[in-house]
Amino acid sequence: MQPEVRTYLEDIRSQLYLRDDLEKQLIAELNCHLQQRISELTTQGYTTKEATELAINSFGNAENVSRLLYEACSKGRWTDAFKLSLPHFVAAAVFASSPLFKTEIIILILGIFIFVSLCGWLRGKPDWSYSWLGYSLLPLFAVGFLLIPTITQFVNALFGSASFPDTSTMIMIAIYYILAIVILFRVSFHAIKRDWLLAALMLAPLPIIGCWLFHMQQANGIYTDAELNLFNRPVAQALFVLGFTSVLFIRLRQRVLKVGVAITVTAISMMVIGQTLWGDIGFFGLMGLSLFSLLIFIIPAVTNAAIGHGTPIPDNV
Amino acid sequence: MQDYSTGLLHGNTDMLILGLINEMGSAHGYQLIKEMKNRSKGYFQLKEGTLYPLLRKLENDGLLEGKWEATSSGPERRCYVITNKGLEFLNYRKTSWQHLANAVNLIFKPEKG
Repeated sequence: MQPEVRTYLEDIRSQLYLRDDLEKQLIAELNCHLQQRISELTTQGYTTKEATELAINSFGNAENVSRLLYEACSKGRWTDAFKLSLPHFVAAAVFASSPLFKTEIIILILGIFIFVSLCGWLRGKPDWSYSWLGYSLLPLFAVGFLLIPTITQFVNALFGSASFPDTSTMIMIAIYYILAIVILFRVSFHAIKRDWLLAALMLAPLPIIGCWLFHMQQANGIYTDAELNLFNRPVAQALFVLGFTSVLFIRLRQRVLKVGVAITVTAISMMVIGQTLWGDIGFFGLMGLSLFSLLIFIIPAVTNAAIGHGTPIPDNV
Repeated sequence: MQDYSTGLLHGNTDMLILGLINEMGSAHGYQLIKEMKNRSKGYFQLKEGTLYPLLRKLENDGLLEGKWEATSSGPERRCYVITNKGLEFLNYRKTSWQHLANAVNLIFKPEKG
């Protein structure tokens, strides 16, 4: 493959945000066309360099070709939309319904989430598996959250205002945090390499449920059933809306629309949760929460810009 | 004038591509561009950058089926064939186009008697 053709095709591929195997097929098809055109032009008397330049120019702007290819191939089937959104709807149902909001049922559902995401991970990481994976990270996240008081006690002990926790407990906690961070980073890295927007949607339930956990921890979890229902409702609504956003993510063709819908929905959900859990949090509180929700998208997007997307074109194409 | 022709082509490219593949039995992208240019005596000059997204869209909609074929020299090529659904769609579009063209012709050159 000519270096100019490689650069051109790599420009197209890097902006496709499609499955690896599909990207490989598309690039192989475009390369086949370019090679035929170059061969034809060289038999007409052009040098290889001139022929390559003409062939690439007649194809058009790489960004435009990428966008058109993405719009042609990104729309998934309704079954894919169902599979991607299902864990959001299940989680929303758990938060919305008191009979389902029980420790044993939550553990069972989390077990199913982990099992399904492991199956998906081992079978080529299809797009729908990422939302299941997001919920599978919840136990790691929640346990880390519950350990915060012990860490706070340790920090206070450093300043002499409390006694040190047990050393072996602190070592276990340190190991847990290191392992949890490694798993979280590794999974997020894979997801961002695939598509930063998909990664953001995968991680979106974490801050939503994180706000709820934070609120519960502040009040030591002492609530009446009626109060618990009141605080669970916005979380259920946010997760339901997230499920609906996942459907749109699969069914919409234009990427700009997908990004717009995902950011708007997450920001509004976070603001609604903030208002319900902490009462009137004022303009700056709302702005803070919406900026926090923006971070869910900005961090994967910036990471994607740094590490790139997908697998670069191999030499043997 | 150029914009008007481009607009007409843009709205009917899918019909032209499906029609061409149906005529040829099976075709790959490079063949389609050359064939379209030759058959229309240079009137339709489809850009490569728009052809491949269109082929993929037609394939995803179930109107075309793409298959990789080995070549004697060079890399494998992806060839497209029309599906039954594609054939139905093509017939519908061709009939609609024919009706429109007849009606337009009648306006410009009314039948005598």
